[in-house]
Formats: sequence, C-alpha cells, structure tokens
Amino acid sequence: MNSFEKKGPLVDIRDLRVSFNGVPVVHGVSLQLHAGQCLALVGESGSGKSVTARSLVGLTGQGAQVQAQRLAFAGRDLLGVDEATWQRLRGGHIGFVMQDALGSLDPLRRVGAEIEEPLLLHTGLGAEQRRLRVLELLRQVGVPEPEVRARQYPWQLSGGLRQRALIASAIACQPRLLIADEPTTALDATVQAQILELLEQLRERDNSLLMVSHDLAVVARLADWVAVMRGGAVVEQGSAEQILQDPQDPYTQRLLSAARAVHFQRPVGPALALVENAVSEQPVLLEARGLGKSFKGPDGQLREVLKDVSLTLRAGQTLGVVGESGSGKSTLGRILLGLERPEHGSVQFDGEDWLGLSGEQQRLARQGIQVVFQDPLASFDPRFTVLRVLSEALAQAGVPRGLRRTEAARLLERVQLPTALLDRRPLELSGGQRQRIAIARALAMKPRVLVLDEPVSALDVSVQARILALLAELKAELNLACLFISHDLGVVEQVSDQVLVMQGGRVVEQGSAAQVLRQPRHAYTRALLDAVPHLPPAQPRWVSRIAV
Amino acid sequence: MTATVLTPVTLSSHSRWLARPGLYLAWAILGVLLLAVIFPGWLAPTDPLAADARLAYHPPSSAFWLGTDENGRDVLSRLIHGARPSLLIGLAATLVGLGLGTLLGLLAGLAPAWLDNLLMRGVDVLLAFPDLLLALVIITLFGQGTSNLILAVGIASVPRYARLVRAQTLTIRHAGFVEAALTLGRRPLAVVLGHVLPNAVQPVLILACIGLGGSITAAAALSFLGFGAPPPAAEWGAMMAVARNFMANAPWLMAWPALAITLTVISITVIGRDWLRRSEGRRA
Repeated sequence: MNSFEKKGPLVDIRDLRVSFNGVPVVHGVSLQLHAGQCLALVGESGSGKSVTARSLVGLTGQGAQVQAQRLAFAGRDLLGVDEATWQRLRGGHIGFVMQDALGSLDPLRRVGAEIEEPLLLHTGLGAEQRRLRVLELLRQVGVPEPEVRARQYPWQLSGGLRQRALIASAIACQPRLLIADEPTTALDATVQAQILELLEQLRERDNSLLMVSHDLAVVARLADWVAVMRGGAVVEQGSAEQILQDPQDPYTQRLLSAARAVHFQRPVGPALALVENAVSEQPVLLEARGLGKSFKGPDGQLREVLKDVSLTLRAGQTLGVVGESGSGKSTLGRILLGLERPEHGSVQFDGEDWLGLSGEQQRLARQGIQVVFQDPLASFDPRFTVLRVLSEALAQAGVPRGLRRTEAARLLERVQLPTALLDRRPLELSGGQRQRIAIARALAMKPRVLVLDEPVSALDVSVQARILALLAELKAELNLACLFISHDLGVVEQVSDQVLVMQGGRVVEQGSAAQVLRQPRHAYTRALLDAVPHLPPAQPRWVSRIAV
Repeated sequence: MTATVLTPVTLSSHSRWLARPGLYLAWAILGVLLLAVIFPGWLAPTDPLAADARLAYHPPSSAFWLGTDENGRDVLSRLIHGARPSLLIGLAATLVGLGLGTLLGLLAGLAPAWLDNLLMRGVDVLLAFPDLLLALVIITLFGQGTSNLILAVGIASVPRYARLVRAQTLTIRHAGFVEAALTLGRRPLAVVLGHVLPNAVQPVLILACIGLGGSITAAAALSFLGFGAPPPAAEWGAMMAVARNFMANAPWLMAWPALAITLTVISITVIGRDWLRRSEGRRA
C-alpha cells in the first residue's frame, strides 16, 4: 500500500444507492471514516442504516442492487468485487458484530470453534497457536475463565458473554475496521454499559469503528463523528459534540429529545433532604405478600426465582419493577397475572384472595388485570387481522358481534392509530404500531390493573418516547394502576410513582421513584443507575460564545 | 459516474414455470387422477367388470390401450375405476393417522409432564415397529376388510404426526398470543382450539400431504398381500396381486398398476415437498 492511500479515508462512500427488487432503500449516502476513528450511524429502524453498513461487507442480501459513485475500503474499490474477494475482506480486514448474538452464533458449535473460524480462514496459524489465540482473544474481551467458556455452547452463555464472544471472533484477525450493528440493543443496561466499555477499549487500540444504532445516547460516548439517517438519506452529519449539543436538523433534535426523555438524567447536585413519601389516599388494588417460586433448572436442581417478594399497588399508580434479566421480575408479573402459581405467599386483587378462587372465578377475575408483553409480534396470533385480535377481546368483554367493528375502531383511536389498520395483519405493521394494538387489546377489557412487561424495550428510542407518553395519558384518563416491568431505569423513572428494585429474586430496594432513583441506598441500585447511558446536556452554540 | 450493478437477480413468474416442469407435471397427473376418482364411468372406455374369456391376455393395442387381463377385462378401465378405492383408502388412512396423531400430540404437549412422558413412550413403542408389520398385526387382530385396512395403515402413521404436533404445541403454548388470550379470560379449551391447534397444524398438514403417498403405497402393499378389497373389485394393489400369477406371459398386467401407484405417489410427494419449501420461505 502506498503512502497516498494511507492518507485517504479508510472508508469512502459517495452517493451510495441501494434498492431491493427495484424499490430504493438508500438514496445517495456519502460517508467517510478515517483510520482510528469511530463513526456512528444513527436512525430509526427502516432508515437504511443497517443496509448502508452491510454494503461495506457485501452482505446487503438477496435481490439488492448496489450503486455508488465510490465505495472504497482502504483505497480499494469495492464495486463489482467478486465473491472470493469479499470473503477475504470479511473477517480478515473488516469485522462484523451483529445485534442478535444468539442468532449469529451456531448453536451446534462451541464458542471456541466459532472464534477460531476466522483464524483458520485468514491466517496460517497452526492448531495450537490458534487455540492460544482464541484464549487470548476471550481474555481480551473480558470473558472470565476463557478455557471453560471456549468449550461451551452459545446457549450456555449469558447474553453479555455471547456478545463478547461475537466481538472476539470479529476482532480475531485484527481487522482494520470493526462494524457493530446495534451491538447492545438486546442487552440489559448494565451489560450494555460493559459492552460499550469494551468497544471503547478496542477503539483506543487504534481500531476504526462503525457503530450502527437507533439510540443517540448509546453512541454518544464512543463516536467521533455522527451521521443521522432518515428514510435512506443522511439528514445531518457532524462531529459528535456538534450533533449532540447543537443539532441543526429538526429530525436530529427530535431524536435527541426522545433519547433525553427515555434515558434517565441524574441530578447534577446531590439532593440532601430525604424525599418524603407522599401519602396516597387511593385504595389498594393489588397486594402481594411473601411470594416465593422456584423452577427446576436444567441440572435438575431447584432454583429459587422469587424469594419473599411483597408489593402494593394502588389505583391510579404506577409501580416500576427494575432488575436485570433473570432477576425474577417477569415471573413476578406472571404470578400477578395468574399465569403462574406461587409456592409461597398470597396475592390479593381488589380485596379478594386471588389464589383462593376456583379456576372459573379466577378466569372471570382475570379480566380486571391485563397485560402488554415485550415482543409486540409474538403477542398476536399470526393468522389474525387487527380487527380479529381486538374482536377476540371485545367478545370476551361481552360486546355483541355487530358492534365489534365500531368498538375496535374506537379502541384504535384511543391508542392514536388510524382505523384503516383494522384489516391489516400485525405482521405488516411497525413495532410501535403493534405495541399500540397490544395496549388497545388490553384496554378492551376495561381493566383496572395493567401489567406491562418490558413494553418498550424492543422499540426504537423515538418510538419508546411516544408509547410512554401514550401510556401516561391513558393512565391519567382511566385511573389505571400499572405494574411496569423493565430493565431500563430511564424508562421506569419516567413512568413510575413507586419503584421496586429486584436482584436474584429478592427485592433489594423499594420506595417512591424520587427517593429510590435520586438517593439509592443499595449498591445494586447504584450500579444500575451508573449503567444508564448519559447524554451531555444540550448546549447551543450561543452558550459557549457567551462563556468566551 | 461509474455506476455498477452488483447483483441483478430477478426471476419473472414465467421463467419459474419453465424452471420447474416436474411440479406442473405432478399437478397435471393429480388432475387426471381426480377426474378418474370423480367420473370414472365417463373417463373409462368400457365396464371394468365386463369379462370375456375370448379377449383374455391381449397385449396393449389400439382397441385395448393397456391390454386385457386374464378374464378379458380392459386394463385401462380397471385402472381408472381402481383410482377411487386406491386413493380413498390412502386418504382415509392419512386422515385417521392425522386425527389420532394430532389429538395425541396436542394432549401430550399440553398435559403435565407425567402424562406427556406416558403418551410419548407409548408412541415410541409404536414407532419401534415397522409400519407394515404394525399394520399386519392390527389386521390380524381386527380381521380383514377395507375399513380395517384403513384403520391399520392409519394407526401405523400416528407416531409421526403425534411427535410433530407435540413439538409444535410445546413452542406455541407459551407464545405471547396464547398467554394474552388467557389473560383476557378465555376458557383454556377455547384458547387451545382457537389459537394453539390452528397454529400447530400447518406443518402437520404438509407432512400429511407428503405422507399421503406413503399411505397409498402401504394400502396397496396390504391389498397386494391379500388383506384389502376382495377380488372382482378393481383396486390397484389387488390387481397387482392377481397379476403376479401371470408375470411370465402377461407382464403388462403387473406393470400398469405399478406405474399408476408410482406416478401417483411421486406426484403427491412432489406437490407436498413444494408446499413444504414454500412454507419455509425458500424460493424455487
């Protein structure tokens, strides 16, 4: 490679256009990434950011047509390159980390073999050298006990470890560019913070990084240069500081305010006075005492998922339940919904002992507690149209057949969706629309308690903000009591009156939202708070000018 | 501007027709078969039971396209009239297997672990016997006849369907929409019939379509062994059983029903596999 090429950008994309079967998806994107820098590509799902990143490794997929004025990596033209060259490039010079670590790792291969593969393909190392290199890589990405982990299968690792293993295989051949497509979206906040830290360390070792994310806050601390994409075009790009503190484009401003709204902003100064618990006059709707539950693990041993959990939910209040995955918060929700029976403890709904009811009585009482699940697609029968989904609920609520269509339309209006969606299938809708329909279905039963199990964690930040606003509105209008289960403290802070922090099946802290989140007493709550991604406060240009 | 198109992949619907002639041939054969099942009298040139000893053992000719058998009956007419019993036995047997298998699989998938284990071990025992042997045992137990033949072939195919339905049920019973329907307060049975069964059954229907060929073969094989329809009736397996005696001087008597069975089974299997491929989202 001559010196001229070294000075040019590592990645040079000019006027990139990608279309699928004639439908244009990316319209004229131009980006440059210089060696040693981090470029973040930010946008909502469907904005063409992943396709843009994938066109750099020739993985745009079937039926894609890629056109560009220039598409170059390290001075080498990538247009019209044959498959063999792509294969040398991928893994060898460009590492690719995908969002879904479980889906990207072969379930039948040990983690070590997965990481070894690029070494086998792109280097001439012997078997023993490769083995040592795999262990070194695992250590480098912070996997404890690499000898053990290398011999395990992907499903035996936690989400965070899987993502680390995936990064290890991507950096195995010391690629000049690492592309990370939503590397932390599926992860808990604390694990997300760890992965971001790892990526930051890798970047310090003079790796170039291309990050793709829907969340500005996630990329804020890593990126040197941010490009905001919308509808297949870059609407604004600039240095990270400029984009985060003084965005010019209205769309960027909206994304940023959504991220601010969703992510918890810690108070800058320490608040000294203890926040007083507001005395609530609302009646207690749902009360659980000393709930315990254990499941049989794969090794045949009983694993306690819930230990002595108690909670009180009053009408019109929102109780946020926070914890990492595996902390038992979803099991708690399922017990309150009556989908799971606790081994110890009692649940009282509206003054009645829930567990003492017969099956038939429970079935009827159940209508007062409705649920919205995390995965907005799995919550609907794939064969059903939106109308049928809502009609099922309305029929259960006793609405006669003839009125169901008008009632369903009214429900859609209530969740701010056009009534034209009634005859579509949930499969054809966006994630945010699907979640609105799930809420509409829950509302059809006129519930008094709504259990929301990670209702926004599968959604884009901007959509999250809108769904949270809708929930707040509905809560106030219908005097709903909500149990809001989430791993994301930022989200919980925004909606909750009371907060309950869970770890390993126990409640470690409980109290009013203001108190728990502003003055956490337990170390675990503090760790959770620290993991929330930060956004620098907005600082328009005129502020710095005044300071000068 | 150096615009380069990397992967121009387009397949028109017309080229798809030409790319898979086998599939369309299979549909054509199935169409003819259905005609023979519905209007055998209209399609067949003569009465399949009209015997004339003077016309026995005629090789294929312009008068008798496929020749005549030992009693001087037209083989083509017998083949056409034989389509209905042959296919109906296969179809009925598949339905019996499908029904029983789906019921068992659904029960096992929804039942507590002990019942699930009990049912599945029972299915494993069934699976341990070769299909034909199992069918023979059942016929020996219940006696001969068309309905017992159907039952025998059907029961022999139960394990396959039961296993698949159980696996499907296990994944669907915890799906969000099933739990959502339960939280709405619907009766468990209504949820099973309204959500679990319809979603579990699609891959099973594909398997049944592919298995239909197997059932037809098994039914013909049992008829061939003499456990099916009693003689003068035209049925492909029974026709072969009789033709075995005249293999040396009239080989076409054996060849035509064998060919009919083979073409039928291949056509149905090809169509079933195409359905499977499309349900998996793979393109042609």
